[in-house]
Amino acid sequence: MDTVNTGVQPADEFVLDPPTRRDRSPAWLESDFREHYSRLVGMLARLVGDRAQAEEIAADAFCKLAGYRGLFVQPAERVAWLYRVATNAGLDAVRANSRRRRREQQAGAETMRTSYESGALEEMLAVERRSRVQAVLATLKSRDAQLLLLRSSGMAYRELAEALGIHPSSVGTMLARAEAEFEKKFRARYGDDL
Amino acid sequence: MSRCWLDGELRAWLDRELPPPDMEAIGRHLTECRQCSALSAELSARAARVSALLGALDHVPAVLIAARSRAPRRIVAAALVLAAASLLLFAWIHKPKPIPVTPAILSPASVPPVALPSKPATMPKRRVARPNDMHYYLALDDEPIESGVVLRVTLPDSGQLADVIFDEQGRPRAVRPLN
Repeated sequence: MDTVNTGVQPADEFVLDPPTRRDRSPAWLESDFREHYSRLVGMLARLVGDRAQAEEIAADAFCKLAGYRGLFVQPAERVAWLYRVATNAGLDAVRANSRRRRREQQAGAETMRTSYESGALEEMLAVERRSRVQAVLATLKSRDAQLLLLRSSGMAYRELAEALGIHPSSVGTMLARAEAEFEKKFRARYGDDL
Repeated sequence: MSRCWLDGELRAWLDRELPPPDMEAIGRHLTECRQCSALSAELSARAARVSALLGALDHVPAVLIAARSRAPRRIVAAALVLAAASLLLFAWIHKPKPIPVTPAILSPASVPPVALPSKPATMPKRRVARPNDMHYYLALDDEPIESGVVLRVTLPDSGQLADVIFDEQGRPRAVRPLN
């Protein structure tokens, strides 16, 4: 009678080793990831206009953070560094995407001209306004752009202070200056059409 | 009159991000200081303008449908004609051949000797009966067709009738010539 093997065990060479202590990510990294990843992605998605690219940038920032595990003593320094690196990468992406965005705008304008839908004009204006805001943000200092983006995402002053690594009492001053700078550059670039 | 406040403190007051005592103190001061009141109004208006501009980042652009130009239409038409022509050629090559007429029976003496093959003769490959190819559509690309309409068209030049499946965007996706 033939023997039927009902439970075949994998060969020894295919048995995976249990993760060692070195393979596991540190607890602080997992904690930071849970607390800040979705917020970072939200901020970056608004900045670059592409959620997939935002997730890629955020994941890259966390990878860098894992590589610099011995660099930070205080958790606040770590969080501020993370937001700074992610925002800088997002601003770089906006600058790099400017050529692609112009191409898309032209294609969009062509589509709108040939479209018979009633909201085509509004759509075209919204796309143009969005690209203008991105362009002005890309010319700001990284910290100013970061502050404006995070504040417009709904973060409170205490959270902003943590993300920027500053004292909470300085947030109002920095925010007022960043808004003034943004408006000044927007007017210089696009006139008074705010 | 109480002391004047800095623009950063006024900005935080506008966002209600100050401790309650400071909130009350600034509120009282603004009623009596015209300069701080004007500064506060200016900060508030600017914050509203910047917030409105940054709100544009929340706009999700609609899916842009590429404008159809005449050149791609010509390419599609040429591809359609080419596909139909290749289908017709395929059908012509695989059409059933007529049964050859048996020639007169030759006498054994006139039959030349045939050398036997060294290897044992293999069974001829069995011809798998296939349904008529004309019952099937020829896909014009690799994408699956989820929905579409079938239009019967007459191909230019040859006058051949064909059924063409167009998808919801008006692109021809598959073709089937008719006998």
